[in-house]
Amino acid sequence: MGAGPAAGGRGARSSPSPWAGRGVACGGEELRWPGPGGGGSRLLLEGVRVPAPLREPARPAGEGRAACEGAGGPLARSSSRFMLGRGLKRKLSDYEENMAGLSSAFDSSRNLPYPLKRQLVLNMCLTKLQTYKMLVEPNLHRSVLIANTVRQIQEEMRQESSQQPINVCNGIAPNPPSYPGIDSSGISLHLPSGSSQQESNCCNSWSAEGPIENSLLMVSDDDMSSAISSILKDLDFMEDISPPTSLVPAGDDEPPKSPENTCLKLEDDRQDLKGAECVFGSFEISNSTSYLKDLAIDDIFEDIDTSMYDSDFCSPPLMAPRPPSAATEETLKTFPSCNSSSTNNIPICRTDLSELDHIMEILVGS
Amino acid sequence: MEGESIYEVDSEDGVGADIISTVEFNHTGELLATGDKGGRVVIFQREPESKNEPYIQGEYNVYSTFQSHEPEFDYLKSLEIEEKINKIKWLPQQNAAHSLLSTNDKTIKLWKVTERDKRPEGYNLKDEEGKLKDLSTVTSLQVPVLKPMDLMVEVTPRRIFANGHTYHVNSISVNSDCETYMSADDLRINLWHLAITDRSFNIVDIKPANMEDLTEVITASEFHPHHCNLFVYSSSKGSLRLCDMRASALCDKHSKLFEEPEDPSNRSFFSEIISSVSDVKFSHSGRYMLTRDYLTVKVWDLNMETKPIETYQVHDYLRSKLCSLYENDCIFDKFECAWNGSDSVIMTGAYNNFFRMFDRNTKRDVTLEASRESSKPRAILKPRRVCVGGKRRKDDISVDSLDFTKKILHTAWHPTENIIAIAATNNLYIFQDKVNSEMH
Repeated sequence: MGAGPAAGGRGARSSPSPWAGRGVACGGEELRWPGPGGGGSRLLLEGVRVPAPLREPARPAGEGRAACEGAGGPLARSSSRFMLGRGLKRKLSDYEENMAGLSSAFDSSRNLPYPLKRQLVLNMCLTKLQTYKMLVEPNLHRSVLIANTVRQIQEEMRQESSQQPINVCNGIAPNPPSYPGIDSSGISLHLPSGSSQQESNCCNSWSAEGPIENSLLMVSDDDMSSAISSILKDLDFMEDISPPTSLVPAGDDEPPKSPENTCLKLEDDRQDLKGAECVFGSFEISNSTSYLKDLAIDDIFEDIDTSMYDSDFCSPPLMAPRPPSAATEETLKTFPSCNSSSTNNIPICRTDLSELDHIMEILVGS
Repeated sequence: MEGESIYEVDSEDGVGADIISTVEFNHTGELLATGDKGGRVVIFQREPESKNEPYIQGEYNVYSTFQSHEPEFDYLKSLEIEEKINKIKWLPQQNAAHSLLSTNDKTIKLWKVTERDKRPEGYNLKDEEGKLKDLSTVTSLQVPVLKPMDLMVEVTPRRIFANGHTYHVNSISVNSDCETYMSADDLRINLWHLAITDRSFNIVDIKPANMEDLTEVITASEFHPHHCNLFVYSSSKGSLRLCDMRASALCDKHSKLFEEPEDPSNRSFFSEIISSVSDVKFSHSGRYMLTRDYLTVKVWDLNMETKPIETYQVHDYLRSKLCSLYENDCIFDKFECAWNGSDSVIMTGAYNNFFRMFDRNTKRDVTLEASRESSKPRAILKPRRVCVGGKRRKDDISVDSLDFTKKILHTAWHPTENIIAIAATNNLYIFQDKVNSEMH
C-alpha cells in the first residue's frame, strides 16, 4: 500500500505532490484538488495542458477558409474536418500558426457564416483566458474584457437557441442523437420540415447528452471544460454544477460516431459562463493570503472519520470490488495517488464535486 | 513640423529595460521627464535661448538620470512587482526645486530635483578637503564665499507612498490645490496628501462583493485642472464618470456619466474591447475632455453627457482587422492622447511609428512618422498616408505592411509651444514647429 507518494496520506490529507510534480501552475496557486491523485485528476490535468484548443488538422488557412465557404453538405463536412479535432495534441507553434491563419481568415473572408465566426471568437477568448490562468499574475483589464466578450457571445447563443428551436449553424439544424432521421455515419445536414417540435424537445434534452453525440465542435467543448476545470480548480471552490460531461472524451481520441451538432449545448454554455466568471475569483484569492485556504482544506479532512479504512491497508487497489460510492469516498481520502482506470473517473469526478460541495457547506456553515 | 532630436534610452543589459513607458512635460515646458521599463527616469532640460546661437534654441538635453523604482518581490503572494514606470506627473513649481511623482504598479514616489551650482569656499575650521584644520594654524577669520562650480543636479526621494494599492496603478494626477493627488488602479482610486505617506483615502471603489461579477475596470483618471473637487475616471466599457468630492466621501456615485450609445452598424464581437478608454485628458481650459479608445479619439464637452462633441478616426482601416489584432493582443494596446496648449489640436499615436494630429478648427488631420529619417536636425516631417486599397499613391503604406510592433503609445505636448515629445519603443523624438511656434 505505500506505493504512491501519498502513502502517508492515507488519512485525511491528500498529497498535492502529484499535482506539483506535474508542474502545473494555475494562477500561481498550488493546486489543492482534494481528489484522487490518479486517473481522474490526470484527466483534468491533461485538459489543462493541451495547448491547442482548435485541434484542426494542420492545413493552411486558405484551404480551411475555402472549405468554409460554400453551402450545404460539402460545407459542413469539410468544416467539420476543419474544426474537428482528431485528438492529436498540437504543439504550441502549430497552434499559433493555426490561430493566426484562422483570425486572418475571419478578417478577410466575407463568406464565413456568422455562427462560425462567433465560435472562432469564442474559442480564441477561452484560449486566452486559459493562457492567462497559467500566468502568475494575469492582467485584470484584459481578462475582464475577454470574459465580457465570452458572456456576450454566450448570451447571444442562448437567446438564439431559446427563441428559435431551429438553431441553425451554417444553415444546418441541430441533430441530437435521439432524433430519428439522423444518419449516424456522418453529419446530417438537413432536417425534414416540420421538425420544430422535436427540436425544441431536443434542446431540452441536450444537457443529458454526452458531448460525443452532440458536438461537432468537440474540441471547443473540451477546451471550455478544461478551461473551466482549471479555473475552478484554481479557485478550489465548487458550486453546484454537474460535471463537465466532456471529461470522458478528454482522453478519448475517437472521432464522434454519432451525428454531430454544429452548435454548442446549452449545458456547456452555462458551464462556460461559470468558467468565465470564475476567472476573477482567482484574482480575489491571489490577492488574499493563500495559506488560509490551505488550512481550511486540511481542517476539513480532519473531520472525516477514516477509521473504517484502516483495516483495508493490505487490500489491493480498490475500485472494482466496491460499490462506486464507497470506492470513490475511499479513493478520495485514502488512496489519493491511486491510478484508477479511466472508466471510474466519471463517477469519481462526480462524487468529488458533490464531496467538495459538501465540504464547502461545512466551511460556510462553520 | 521639424525634426529635431532623437534620444535613445540606453539599457544596461540591452534587453527590454529601455522601452520608454511614459513621457511628461512640466508646467513650463522647460523640463521633460521620461520613465522607462527599467525603472529609470531621465529628465531633459531645454536649453535657454541664446542670441549668439539662435539655431540651437530650444534643444532638449539630458539634465538628470536616476533610478526611481527597483523590482520588488511580494513574498506574500509570490509575485514580482515590475519596476516599470507607469506614469510621471510634475508638481507645480513652488520654489527653486522641481518635484515630480513617479509610479510603478504599486508604489508612488515623490522626487525632488535640485540644482547645485555654487559651492562655499573658505571655511575657517575645515580645509579644502574638509579635514579639520589644526587650530593653531588659524590666524585670522574669513567669511566663506560662494564660488561657482559645475552644475550638479541632485535628485532625492522625499516621500514614498506604498501599500496603497492591491491592483496595478494605471494613473496618477496632481490636484490643482497642489496639496493632494490621486492614484488609480484597476478597481480603486485613492486620494493622498503629498506630505503624508502612511494614509490615503479611498474615494472610488468599484470592486464588486463577488469578483465573479466584475465586468468593468478603471482605466485612467485625472483631476480637473481648475476645480480641485472634480475628477474624472474612465472605464473599460467606454464610459467616463465625473465625480465631485464634495458630494460624499466615497465617490462611487458619479455626478455625471459620459457615455455614447453604441453604433449598431459598427457592432462586432470586439465592440466592447475597442470601446475601452485607454486615456483621458482634460483640456487646458477645463471645459472639455479628450478620450482615446482603440480606433478613435473623442472630445467631450463637460456639459453634455450623451455623446462626444467630436470624434476623430485614428486608424479606421484596422476595423476590418480586429480579429487578427485580437489574436496577437494588439487590440489591448493603450494609446495616450494629448492636447496642445490652446486646445485647438489633439494628438495621439498609432502603429508603424505613426502619430496623428487633428486640428479641431480646420478639421484637418495629418499622419506623421517618428523615425530616424524624419528626425535629422531640421528635417521637415513629411505627411504619411495609409492606403486601404483603391488608388495607391507613391509613398503610401498599405495596411498589411504596417508594423504592429512599432507603436507610439506615449506622447506629450509642450504646455505652451508647438513642441511635441514622442516615445517610440526605446527612442524619444522631439519635434518642433518652428514656423508656427506660437499657438493659435
